[in-house]
Amino acid sequence: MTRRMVALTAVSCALGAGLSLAQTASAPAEQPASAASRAPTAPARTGADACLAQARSRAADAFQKHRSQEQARLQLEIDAALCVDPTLSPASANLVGTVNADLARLARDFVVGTRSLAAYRAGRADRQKKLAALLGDPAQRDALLRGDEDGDLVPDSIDKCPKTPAGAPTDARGCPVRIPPSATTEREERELRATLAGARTLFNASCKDAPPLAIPAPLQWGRGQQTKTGQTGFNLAIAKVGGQPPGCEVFYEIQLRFIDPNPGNPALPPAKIVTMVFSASEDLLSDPARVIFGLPVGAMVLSPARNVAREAFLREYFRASWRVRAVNGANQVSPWSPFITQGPASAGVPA
Amino acid sequence: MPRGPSRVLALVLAGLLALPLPAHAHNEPVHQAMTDFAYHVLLAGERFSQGRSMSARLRSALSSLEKTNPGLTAFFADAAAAAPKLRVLQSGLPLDPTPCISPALVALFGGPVPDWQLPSGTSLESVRMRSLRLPVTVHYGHGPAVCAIAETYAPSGELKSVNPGSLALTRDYTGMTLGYWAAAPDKETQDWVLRSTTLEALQNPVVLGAIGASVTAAVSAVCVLACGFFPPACVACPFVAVGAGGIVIDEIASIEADSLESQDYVGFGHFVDMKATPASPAPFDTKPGKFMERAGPGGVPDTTEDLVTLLLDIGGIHVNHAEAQAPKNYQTILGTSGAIGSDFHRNSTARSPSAWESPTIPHLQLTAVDNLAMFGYQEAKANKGTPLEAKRLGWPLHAIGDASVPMHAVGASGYGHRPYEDSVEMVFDNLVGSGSTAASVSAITQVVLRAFKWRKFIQDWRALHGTTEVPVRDLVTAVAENTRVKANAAPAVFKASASIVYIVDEDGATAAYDNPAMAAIQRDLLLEGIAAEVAFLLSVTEVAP
Repeated sequence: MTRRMVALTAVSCALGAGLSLAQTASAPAEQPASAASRAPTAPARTGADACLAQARSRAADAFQKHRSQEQARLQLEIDAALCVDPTLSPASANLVGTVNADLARLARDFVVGTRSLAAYRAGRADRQKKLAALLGDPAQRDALLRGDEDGDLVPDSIDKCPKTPAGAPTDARGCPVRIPPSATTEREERELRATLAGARTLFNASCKDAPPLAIPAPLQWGRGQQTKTGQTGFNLAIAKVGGQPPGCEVFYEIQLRFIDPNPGNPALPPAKIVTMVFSASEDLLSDPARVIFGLPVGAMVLSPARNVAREAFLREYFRASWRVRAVNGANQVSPWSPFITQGPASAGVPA
Repeated sequence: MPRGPSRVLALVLAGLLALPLPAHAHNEPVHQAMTDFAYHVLLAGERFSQGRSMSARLRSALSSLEKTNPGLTAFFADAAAAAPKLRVLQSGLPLDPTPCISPALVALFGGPVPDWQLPSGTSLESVRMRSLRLPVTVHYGHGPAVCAIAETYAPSGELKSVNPGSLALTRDYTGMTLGYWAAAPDKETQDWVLRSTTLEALQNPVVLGAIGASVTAAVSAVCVLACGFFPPACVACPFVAVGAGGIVIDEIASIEADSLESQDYVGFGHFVDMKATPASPAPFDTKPGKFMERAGPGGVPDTTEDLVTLLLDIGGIHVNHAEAQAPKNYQTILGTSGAIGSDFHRNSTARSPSAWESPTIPHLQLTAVDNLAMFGYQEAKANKGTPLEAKRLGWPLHAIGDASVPMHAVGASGYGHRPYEDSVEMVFDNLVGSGSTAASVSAITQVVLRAFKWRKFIQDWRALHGTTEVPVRDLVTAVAENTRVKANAAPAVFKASASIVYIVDEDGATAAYDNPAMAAIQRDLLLEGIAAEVAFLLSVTEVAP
């Protein structure tokens, strides 16, 4: 979509009176319009929030009626600029909105893999540099509003390369500049994409109206029976977090800091830190006040973190500082409990 | 044994919980512990000056210092004058009736509710710090929790000897209470209230469905990350299905697009970027706060900053100027915009509401933490003799704490920010030598010597300008500059990959700081920050209301 079409949607916005973006989506792109009539107009300002809500609503309508998300986003950003500052000139609102929309698009392109990290960074810097320059140059701002077919923020009237690919950085004449390859950036991109690919989160609709989570208190750890599984191993007792809606499972994140019983022993690091997560469904106990989570000894395969913790217990770190926090599927996380420092319970912690 | 759904979910969740939330790299317990340590150094000075009891090792060490630094005699005398003034501050603590489940505390109170034994007609908020019966943790008064009494509290190492006693009996908890307030700015969720340009539009069910149907796997991945990392960015992913367990939620509908507030955003105003400021774009401040576009020791954002930037840009996240308090409170104009202020520090250039709101957060220079400090200082003075005084004194203490962290001094959310701070929190006791007499005495004497230096910084400024005020903005920026210079001399402290690794491997990233070289710089900067807090606490008691 070209910037000219966006300007035409802005015309419809300017006509106001409930005329939505979607209703004008079929306006011919070639239809000439004066600079003044292209001006985006702020909706009635009953406060910036109300203004923004109207702008969002129009954008949603437009999108619903098969305008592209990109087009709706651009118009929304231009309208939003005016909501924030109704005194902005049309050209300034167009500039600010366009830059914000471009930054969002550059980010999205990187995320979906159609733009490299180097290109993303270069595009971002290009938009910021041009924004700073154009904010101080009213004539160029006005020229931009009259036409910027390729959307590179260089007005058509001086653009020597009118077909610049979307989001590409350009020089002052509007011609694309080369983005030099960089081994560092390529490594960083691999790193960043691996992180994006590896990250996951958890949502549970049953937790939607959950009250804030209490802080779970660590109570005691020690060897013990794990009757539900028929194993023996190390058990950790924690004060139970309740009060959650039915179906909203609570998870307990446990951070253990093992302390070397014989400082200076070269066989053991002076301290070992491990973080584990258990779900309430793994509770070995059916007790209203406590949960007990187990690290079975023996050949059972555990997750890496649990395995580290089990090995640490087995390697006789006789004291451990530990703390706990709770989380649920509404993305609520309780504060950490204070650390408590303990040796194993003398009578064990059977479950 | 095959992994059941719960196990897989738990592993999945581990990723969520490790998300770096770099905008709010809170280390509240460290702030509290730093201030408590600083107060105890004042107590040591008081006792030493008055010839009162303390451990022989500590007294001997302070005597040695005094012999080689004659100016310390006056410093200790000043500490003796300052400490009692801090003890008579009103606590400002809210009354939190959250019951305690600890058997020891229940036994102590005779029931589950903390018993403060307040004098008749006195509220906890207005009771003098010297009369507080219990130490509180940073969680106290903040929602449903196990009662946040620090039942295992004891002063660090040899400092026990200047504040002897046991829980709820004889100890002075002024340091812990001041520390509680030093940590409190991390909970000021009204500081940065944000809005999303796009959110409400995309809440439209039809739009949600359309986007949900068209997202690619890559988008799904970033959506999943975004939602956990920065809730407003859920805009990019209306429906998130995590395979294990098939748990699905439409989270977006509950988000109020115009008024997004969270503890996640509070830290936006807790930076002061001390590296050289380029001519363009024109800075908001001579030493601006966070500015993601040029974050990091060399002004080149790392991948963590890229990640935050792209999420905030996709979400169209802006400051809601009408509701956010930071732009109003921490713009801090003491006189004319951009000119030298009444504290002889150059003022910020005031910005209009639209200048605050037009750019998305990554492209906006945010307020600097020295201004946050000045706001608290001014408010403390304006509310002298009220419960608000202690609370507001926490602002400059917090700022000094932040200024002693390398990443705060170069505007970086990445470069190992969270791993560094987590590491300091984990090994705090070791860094201040709590576990051994020799190490503890060494840490205390280093703090004394450095506090003496910062005290002289304040006294020289007072002499130059003929005032008894505390140069809060100068002090915070000087601490931050000291931090930056030392960090640059040990550049390995900035680990460009550590923050991104932290997202999926918190412990692994934090372990990058688990070596003697990193511990040395952490200790050096931590002691410097504590020392600056000592000088501040001492000097602030001399300021006329």
